Amino acid sequence: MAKNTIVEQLKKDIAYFQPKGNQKTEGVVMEVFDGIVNASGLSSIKASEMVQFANGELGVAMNLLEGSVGIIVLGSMRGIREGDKVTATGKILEIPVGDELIGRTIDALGQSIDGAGDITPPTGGKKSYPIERIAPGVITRKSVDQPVQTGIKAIDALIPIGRGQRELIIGDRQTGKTAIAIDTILNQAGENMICVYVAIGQKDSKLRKIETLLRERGAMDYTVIVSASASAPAALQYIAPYAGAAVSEYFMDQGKDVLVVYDDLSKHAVAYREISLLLRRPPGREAYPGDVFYLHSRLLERACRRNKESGGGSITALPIIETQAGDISAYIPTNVISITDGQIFLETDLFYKGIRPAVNVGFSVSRVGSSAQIKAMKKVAGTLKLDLAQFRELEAFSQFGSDLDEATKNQLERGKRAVEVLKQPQYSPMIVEHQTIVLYALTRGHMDSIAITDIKRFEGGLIDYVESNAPEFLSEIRTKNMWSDEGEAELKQVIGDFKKIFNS
Amino acid sequence: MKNAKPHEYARSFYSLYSKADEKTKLALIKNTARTLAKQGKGKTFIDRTLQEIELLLEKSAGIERIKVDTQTALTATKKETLAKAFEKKLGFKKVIIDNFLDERNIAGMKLTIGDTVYDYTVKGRLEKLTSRLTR
Repeated sequence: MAKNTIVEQLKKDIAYFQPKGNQKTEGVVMEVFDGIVNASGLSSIKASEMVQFANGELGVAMNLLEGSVGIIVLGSMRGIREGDKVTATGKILEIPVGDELIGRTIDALGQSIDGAGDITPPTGGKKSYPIERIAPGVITRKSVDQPVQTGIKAIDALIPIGRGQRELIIGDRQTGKTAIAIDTILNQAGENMICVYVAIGQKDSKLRKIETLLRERGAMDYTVIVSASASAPAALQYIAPYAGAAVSEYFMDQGKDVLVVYDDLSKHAVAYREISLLLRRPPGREAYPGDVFYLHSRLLERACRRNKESGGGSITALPIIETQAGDISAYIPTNVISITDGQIFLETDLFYKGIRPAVNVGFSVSRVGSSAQIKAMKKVAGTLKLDLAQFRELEAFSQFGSDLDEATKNQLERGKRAVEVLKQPQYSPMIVEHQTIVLYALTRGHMDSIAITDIKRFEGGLIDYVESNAPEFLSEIRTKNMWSDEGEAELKQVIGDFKKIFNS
Repeated sequence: MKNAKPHEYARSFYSLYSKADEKTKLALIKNTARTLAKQGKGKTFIDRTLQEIELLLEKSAGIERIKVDTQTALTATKKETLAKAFEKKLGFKKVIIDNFLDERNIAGMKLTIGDTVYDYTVKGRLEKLTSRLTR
């Protein structure tokens, strides 16, 4: 901005300034401990109103009791002393939003933590969204019928996710939950999707790795990272997912589609439990406060697809929950399962058997289902789930190989090939056109004669062969979401030709 | 009542004190001080409790204390005028003006009535202008 422009703007602001008196509500800090401050006074303060301490730190009024107010401190406790003044700001907690957040890593209060300098608002001024906001009403919503392509065959074929859906990713530690979320973000390149990754209680080293990967792969061109790491106060870990939701709502209000990942809500529930116990709220089951369900339900209800009259746009949520010893019937997992529109269940046993992503297709579900699939995928994946279910049933009998009839043996062989095809390396999302070709070859029996150990090589080679010899088939899927009869005949021919080359 | 807050102690004290006769009142005051000291409460806690008790007693007598921060000391006449104006405006039986000096205010006046602060100082207005210009 030119120096003269700045001076003119300052002169204008001073000229319009009305020097009226300032009214504010004050209180006095009585107790300070573990991220919580009890203050007296503040008699007219509202719930969730922001307060400011004498040292400049911010807090949120959580407990409004007779004679005292319980405040969670959104920062360091250092410098807050008994007897200090605390002033009500009159504002509910909010976060600065804007297009300038894309490509940046911010904390739960919207301040940059990526070392790339402060986030400069546009010339129009800073815009802020409230952290807590009521979810869009029923009338403003539209049904979910557009896919979110994760790039992971097992998910796009069997547990399809749609724009505006909430799909839970649940499993034990180190089973690939974050990997699925990151692969999904990587696959959104060119899909007209803004991604928001919310890290709650994660190690800083893990976040740095994720940020570096996203930057190297160009994903930061459409991604915002909101972080409240393990070293952040519990108050910031509690607020972080809502801050991520507020950032997502800004983009949705512009009619855009947004994908938000909450990694993970188990740590979020633990942070909320810590705050609630320090505020002396009565503990319930597993010492969680009584409103721990509401903690997640009000967050996840903000993900939706809006109709055109209400501005369009959508927020797709991928919350992550970590289970202990595979127990999906524990308190927090069952809460979030009942809120979301499906779950992707990852198993440790499958992971160590080499089946990665370790998706247990039997326990996983998408309540949106094939409404969120393109026609081509619907056609090839239709029988795949059933084939896999039958394979799992028959697997127990595989030790009696010599006693099985031909049909059962074929079923087993097809199932083994299906499991092999659904394996996928990390950070290698596959576009949906390639997925349909591979699954077409699998479900139509073209891979039945290929050895299990050669399946991956066959898959890679087939995709390259189709890219070079039948690119129009791929563009037909890309543009029309389905192939024609002629296209299918051509594909069969191409697959046959490739098999001859592969086997020779 | 070991973990009670100052206002809770004050309320308990007041509920007994308001019903007690003169002889019992003195004993009550002594016992309260002894109890707080025995429980190891610090000076700040005791000061706060005494403030709360004072507030309750004054409130029950219809007295309101208003803190007035100025740059120079108010004369007795000015305090009296202010007190009468507030009694009329706010409907209190009696208003006591506590005048505190703060040169950092530059000029003007800051009033504290209960929890609400009314800042009419030059310093307050400059701070408001600063926050507006640096938005």
